[in-house]
Amino acid sequence: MWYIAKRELYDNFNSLRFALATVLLLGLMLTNAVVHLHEHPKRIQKYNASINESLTDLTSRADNLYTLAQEGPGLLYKKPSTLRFCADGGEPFLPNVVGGAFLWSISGGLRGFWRLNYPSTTPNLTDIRPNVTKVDWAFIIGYVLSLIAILFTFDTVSGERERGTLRLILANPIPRHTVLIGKFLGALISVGIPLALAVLMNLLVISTSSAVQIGADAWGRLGIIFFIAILYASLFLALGLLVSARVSRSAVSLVILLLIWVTFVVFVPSTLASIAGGFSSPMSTDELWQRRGELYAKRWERYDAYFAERVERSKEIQFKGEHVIAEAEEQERVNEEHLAQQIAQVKFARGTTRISPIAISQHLFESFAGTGFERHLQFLENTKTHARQFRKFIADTDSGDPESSHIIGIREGMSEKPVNPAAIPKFEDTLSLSKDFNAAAVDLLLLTLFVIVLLSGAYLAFVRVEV
Amino acid sequence: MMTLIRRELLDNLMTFRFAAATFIMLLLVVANTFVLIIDYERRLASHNDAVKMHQRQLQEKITYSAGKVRVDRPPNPLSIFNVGFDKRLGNEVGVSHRLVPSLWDAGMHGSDNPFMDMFASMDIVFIFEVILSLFALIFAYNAFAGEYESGTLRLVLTHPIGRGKILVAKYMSAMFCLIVPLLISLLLATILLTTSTAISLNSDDFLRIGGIILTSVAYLSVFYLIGLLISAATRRTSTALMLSMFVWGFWS
Repeated sequence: MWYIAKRELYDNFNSLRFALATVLLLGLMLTNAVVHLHEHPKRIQKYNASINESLTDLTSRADNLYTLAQEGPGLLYKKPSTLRFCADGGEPFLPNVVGGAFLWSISGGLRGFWRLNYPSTTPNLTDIRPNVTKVDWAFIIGYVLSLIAILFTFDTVSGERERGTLRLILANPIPRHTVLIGKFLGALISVGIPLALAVLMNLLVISTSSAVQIGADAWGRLGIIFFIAILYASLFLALGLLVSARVSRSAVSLVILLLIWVTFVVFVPSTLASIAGGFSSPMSTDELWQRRGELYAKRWERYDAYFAERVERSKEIQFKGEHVIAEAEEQERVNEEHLAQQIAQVKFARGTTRISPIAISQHLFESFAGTGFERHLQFLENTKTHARQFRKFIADTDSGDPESSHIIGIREGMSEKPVNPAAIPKFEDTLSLSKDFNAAAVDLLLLTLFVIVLLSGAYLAFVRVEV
Repeated sequence: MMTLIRRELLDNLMTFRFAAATFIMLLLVVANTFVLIIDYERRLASHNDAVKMHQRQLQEKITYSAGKVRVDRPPNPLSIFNVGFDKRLGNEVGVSHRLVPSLWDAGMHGSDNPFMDMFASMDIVFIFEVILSLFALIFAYNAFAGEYESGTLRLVLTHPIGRGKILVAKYMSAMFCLIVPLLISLLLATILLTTSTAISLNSDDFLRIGGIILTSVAYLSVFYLIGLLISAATRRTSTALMLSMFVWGFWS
């Protein structure tokens, strides 16, 4: 078996395609590294600047617990991932901030309380530069490496049959599956070497720069990403072997493979996503505003009805506080419902695109690079946790003040003492590898399944090859 | 000359790749046109809503000086062929007494789920770009190298025909074979467009579609000529094919 693998390897090393593949991959990876080194420090700087601004705002509110509670923790920013060069993940289309909103005044001398608000970005509204493909690892591996894998295997069986050497090999007392596995391994190594070279060079360039630091956790993620790349490449190698064993002429085999590649890699993901996106129609922005307006009006009707007759002073404060809190909670719930519907639509569309291996690999790269949609969901989860923590902090601090009557929501009912700014919980966006892994498990399994199915298909086809 | 063209034409038409090219083109164009038409109708509906809403807002205004007229840009039906910035840039602008709007004052209505922008959107010209350039190279790779390998090149060149003529014959027949799927799929797309009630194309639009066809043909011939160059420069079909594919992968 190793003889066959070795023979394939020598065959490939001397070929033009090996040289071309190496040059192409090296060039792309170098571009990727240079672009990342150019862009990433700017992103980090922007993130730090906005965090500091948000923190200054927060400190300026800390001289009064009521103001702090009413105006909330300020803007919560998403931390840019250090592995952004692995997968861009449509990050420019995702908002990088979750805001709070509060109403300056909601008549009757009351002020609206802070609630989570999810801004939507239309980031390219003023960007009139043409669309460019992001040269990230996901692109290089998803498109270029898969094409290279096909170009390496389209003639493994059919080419040998054309030249007549297949007869020679099969005349030896080696079982056919050994031949096939040898060929597969040979092709895998000869695709893996250019990839490994390119990846190493890319990481070398990136890690030598002082501007970008890659931690131990990130190296682990990079290892997983490399493993996925190899798995993905072997999927296309197996496909190439399968088609090349079924078809008698290598030119036909290449045409078929390219057609499959173009259909599944280039067209299926976006077409299916837009079809699947059409099935559900989430609440539109206009509808959201309408719902919010209705709820707001209803809440005020109840308020007016309550104060239609005279109420005691203590009960009045109690009711007003509850009113303010309930208003904020209601609005937040509508916001969340709106967001959940949007997320459901995207999730469905992403699920449908899983037919195409490239979509699976993109999802995996995104998950492990800490970018993209799944990461965005984690970020949203983090902001919700933070909101809970913040509210708990307010309640705790308030109950620690003996002068306060502990009615949160209204100035008269709350402590107005200054708060130690250091004690306020700070939002820090975190990434968790285990969560990423959970999100990626389905995709990983599917990809493995694809590889196994295609390899067994290639085996069956090769066993039936008539010499 | 005519015999040459006819021979090349028959050679190309009878192949598997021609059938595959036509089939794939039709499949993709029809599927995508359906999707794009639905998307266009959705955008049009949202545009109409916005126009209605802005008109109502305008009528509610009492004084002229406080008035801010909101102007909406309707979606272009030809964005089905090439989307350009039709979806991406703002589609409403407020004009008021003191404000002269610039690009940066544009707003966006009608994108109900901004997360969906993560998925790349496809238009018909993109399909042409990718698939037809691929097929141009596939048609070209064995034009000379293949004949050289099978020995027929020697035979053809023994005839008293200029080499230039052979080249022109190959070029014309292959371009014909590439233009046929292009035209059929465009025709199908246009028929689908006209069946949709929301879309009405006028003669101006048809002229523009003609422009799209012309540009596509020029684009195709560039790729076919690249393929011919590679095929003439290399002696072996497999090398020619490999080089062409790398060129294709690199440029598109």
